[in-house]
Amino acid sequence: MSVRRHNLSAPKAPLAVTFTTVLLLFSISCSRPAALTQGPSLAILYNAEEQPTEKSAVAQLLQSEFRQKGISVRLDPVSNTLYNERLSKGDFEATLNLWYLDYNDPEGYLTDFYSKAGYRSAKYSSAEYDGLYLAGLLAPTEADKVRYFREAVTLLDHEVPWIPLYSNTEIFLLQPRAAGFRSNAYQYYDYRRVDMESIRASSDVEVQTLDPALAYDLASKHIVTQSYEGLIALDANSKIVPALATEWQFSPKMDSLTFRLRAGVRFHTAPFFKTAAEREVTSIDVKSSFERMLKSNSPYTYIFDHVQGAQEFKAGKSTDIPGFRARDKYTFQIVLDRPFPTILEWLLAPAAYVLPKGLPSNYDLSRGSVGTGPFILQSWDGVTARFVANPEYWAADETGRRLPYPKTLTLRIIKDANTALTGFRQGELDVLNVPLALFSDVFELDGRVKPAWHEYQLHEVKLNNLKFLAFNMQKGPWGNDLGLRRRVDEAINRDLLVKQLFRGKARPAYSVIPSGVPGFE
Amino acid sequence: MRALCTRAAFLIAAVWVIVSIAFLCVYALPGDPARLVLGQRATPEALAEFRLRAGLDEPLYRRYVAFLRRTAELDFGESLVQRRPVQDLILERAPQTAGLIAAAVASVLVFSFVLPILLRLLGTRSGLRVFERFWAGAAVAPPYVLAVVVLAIFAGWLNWVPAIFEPSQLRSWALPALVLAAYPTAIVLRLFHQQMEQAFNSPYVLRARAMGFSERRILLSEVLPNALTTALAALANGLAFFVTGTFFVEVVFGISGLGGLTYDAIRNKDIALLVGLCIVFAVSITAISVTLEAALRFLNPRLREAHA
Amino acid sequence: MPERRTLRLWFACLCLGALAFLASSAPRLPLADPLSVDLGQALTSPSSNHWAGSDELGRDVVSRLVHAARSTLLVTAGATVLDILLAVAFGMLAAYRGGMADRALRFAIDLFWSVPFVVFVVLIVSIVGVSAVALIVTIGAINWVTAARVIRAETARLRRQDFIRAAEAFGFPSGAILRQHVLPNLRSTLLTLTAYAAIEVLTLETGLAFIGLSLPAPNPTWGGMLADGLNYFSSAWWLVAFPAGGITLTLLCLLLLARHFEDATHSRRATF
Repeated sequence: MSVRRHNLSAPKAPLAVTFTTVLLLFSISCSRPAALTQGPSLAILYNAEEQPTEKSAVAQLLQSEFRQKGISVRLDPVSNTLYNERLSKGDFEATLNLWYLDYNDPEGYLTDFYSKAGYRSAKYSSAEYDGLYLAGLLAPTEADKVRYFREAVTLLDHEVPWIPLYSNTEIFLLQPRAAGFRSNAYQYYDYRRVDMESIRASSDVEVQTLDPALAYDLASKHIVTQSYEGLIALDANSKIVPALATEWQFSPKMDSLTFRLRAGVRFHTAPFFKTAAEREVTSIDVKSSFERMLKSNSPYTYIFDHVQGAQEFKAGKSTDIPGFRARDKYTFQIVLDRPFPTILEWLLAPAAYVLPKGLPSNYDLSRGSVGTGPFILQSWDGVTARFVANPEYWAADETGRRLPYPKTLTLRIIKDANTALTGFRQGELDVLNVPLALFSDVFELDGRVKPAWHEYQLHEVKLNNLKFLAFNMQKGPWGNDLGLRRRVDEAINRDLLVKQLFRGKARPAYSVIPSGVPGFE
Repeated sequence: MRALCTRAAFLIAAVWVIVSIAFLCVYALPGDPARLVLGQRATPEALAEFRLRAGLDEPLYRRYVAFLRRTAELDFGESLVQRRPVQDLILERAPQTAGLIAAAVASVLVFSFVLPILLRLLGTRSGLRVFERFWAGAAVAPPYVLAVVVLAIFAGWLNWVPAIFEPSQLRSWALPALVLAAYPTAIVLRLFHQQMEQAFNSPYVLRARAMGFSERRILLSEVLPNALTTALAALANGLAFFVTGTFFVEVVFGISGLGGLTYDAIRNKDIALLVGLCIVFAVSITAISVTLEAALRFLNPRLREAHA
Repeated sequence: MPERRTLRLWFACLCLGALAFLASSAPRLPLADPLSVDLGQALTSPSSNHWAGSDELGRDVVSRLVHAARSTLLVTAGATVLDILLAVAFGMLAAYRGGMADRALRFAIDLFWSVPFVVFVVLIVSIVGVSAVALIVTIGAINWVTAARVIRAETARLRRQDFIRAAEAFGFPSGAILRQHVLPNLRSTLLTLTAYAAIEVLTLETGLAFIGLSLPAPNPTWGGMLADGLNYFSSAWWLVAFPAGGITLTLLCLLLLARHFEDATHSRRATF
């Protein structure tokens, strides 16, 4: 064997060419930064894990539009956790964000600007605004509330801490037999009237929790609302309708609210119920559910801020909330420390749903539901939630037929839009929530449905959500220069965005309160 | 026996190193999980309380010591974001990943051992070469590209398999398993083929031929034992590859397994969950490969020197 | 008529060379702006205007692919070089010093094979943030173990041979022996390992981009383009086909190179 054996039994020329080119490439790339955007710019932070396709499309569209108007933009997509941290710390210049609510109350859109609020995506603070906001929030009548809030909105429109962009329209494709599907402007999905043996639907984001008290994200809400109910609910037209309560009444001074509960409603079966009587929903269950929520890490504890004794309870100074009164088996009263009509809307949040009083604190709700809703959760594996119909469900339709119609319900997390679409075509899904990525597949440029989809039902709902660009008002130069912010505002062509990107399936937004909210139409 | 003790000591050391690295990495991850859990309207007090309860504000060394103690007691704790015991989450997802890997290993065995042996017995050498080329070609594309392509062809176009993964349907498993198996099959098949050819040309096979043994007998008694054990040893060494592969395959096919859980744990800064997962991976991979290695050494004494 | 293996070699080299040329001179080529949005042109199929079609924001796919190749190839080249340098250093050290160094390397190898290391790559990239340098250092610093194992074995084999023994007996310093005798004999092994390392790195880099860990938008990356295109697959196959084809073709060329060197050295890689 020869000692030095490094001849390669092949021509060396092509190898030499390749390696020289690789070196060339390496040197050139080193001398030129890989990033394609340069210069001082407006950095737009956004959460790349929440509705990523839509956000990335809108962000890049804005960037390109701004560039044509001479505003240089740098995009800064980050992970969920990092986004939250940087927003809390104010480590951003502007952010592309979205806002959605669980109840039809204008206050929800205004809280972000209140200087003592929790989140404050614009870091906005103004004594004048705070005054108007509080006056509206605590106004004794609906008319006063709307009046103060309109003034507050005018103030914001002038100062431009947010640039409202658009409100979405939610599009569903339904298999012909799934036509009974309903949903509303606040994204409550109702499968009760779908006249099919079993129904399968999907959602495209991860589920964080199956505990109604903690659910704030849309996917958790989607699953939780099938098995649990509150005292009242929002119907398909976003009107408040009875649920576990059949009727309710404010005191004349608007400082207490009394509910009459529906008799004979039972929780789903669970091992911790010792007798059948324990399963019936009573006012004690309502009280204990509200107290359980206040004791938890729920983001919704604010909804009871004006209930008598709630603050002491939250601070751990008392073990009981005198403001929650179980007057008799079927009468529940909320006593407020001031006139506060908004409490009724706030009770729509899933955090105010009713669970049994005997629920052990370590009970794993992902093993099975213990609510009163139309569907009983049977299993959850992190991707698929399987439900069966609740045979004891209280509601019936107009003809007296018992709800829900379907015997089983399957909700699946499918992150990939294209997989969901193929599954729907194959008949493996009955309800398809059509995200922006599929718009080009479903709609013509002018928004008409393509012929290939004519055999399916189309269900369109205008959402009362808001997509916006928020400036960090505490950081220069954008935060302290109204002229600069106005320039950005004027550089946006909302009609183009809505028409071309969304094919008309969105509404341009010009105010921080979406146009569908009562009092702000 | 001594070898086993060394391996056990190695396993413990390895788990400690891995767990510590994972802990430090997660500690250094930027981001605030409190806000993720508590939502947009959470007040600063609520956030502070959550951080206190989850121990997020403690100094590093105290968290590390507490963490090591808990891990030593096999208490994996509770997932920060999902607020359920880590053990439950892993047990809930593990069957799908284990099933996927088992199906992939099974198809590697079929495609790189069973079929080649059959082809060889039938005497079609060119068939074997074409077969090898096919897998080599499939293995060029990375698993996620392959997954995307086969899904588009077989679900979107030919409509043979459901696009939505349904664990209770057997045919849902075929594509993910084949995609995961493509790369290992290409490598093991090539190695096995080479080993077989080498053995066929070796002096002892020539002698056996000269003595008038049938080709089938030569294959089964002289060639296979060596070729098979060498190729199997390569397969045993590559177990971690399967786990890495599931990471991507699960994402594309929408399988609810450990890969997706790991990715979520990293994104959500979920330290307890990630460490639990790392321990599960390290222990199961090492345990399986040690067992396989021991079994192979028992079967083929030649490997004892070859792997030294 | 040249041999088939020579043809294959030429094919691989020419493809890689062309790719490197396109990537390095992308800003000076007559290509459409990879960032300029034109919604009127959104999702048009391949035509004379857009050879590979346009994406959901009306951007030219060819231009984006070529610009994406810059960062992808840069990261691949950088991480591969780092990978091999570390592997040579640690592999030779372990084989030549033996003892603790050898045991440490074997521990590292075993460790590497007992966890899906992609977990750690994802973790570290999440910590330091995505940038070309971060990707190069992370991937290079984690991936060297595979190559180090082979180099250790080869060095140990060479060391047992007479000419090295002779050099040692003459009292040459170890550094000189390694440099003058061991390294030249490792050259063909190194070429094979480099090609394989490039394959691993490229697969990993595009994989990370595919799951969202790539240079931030709007900078195009192959993996990111593939992942984005997947959403539009049912109406625009070209958004998936071209990035997937680009990745696969590059990997194929690297594999052909690797196989060529492997055959030339009669060495084989029995592992993954």
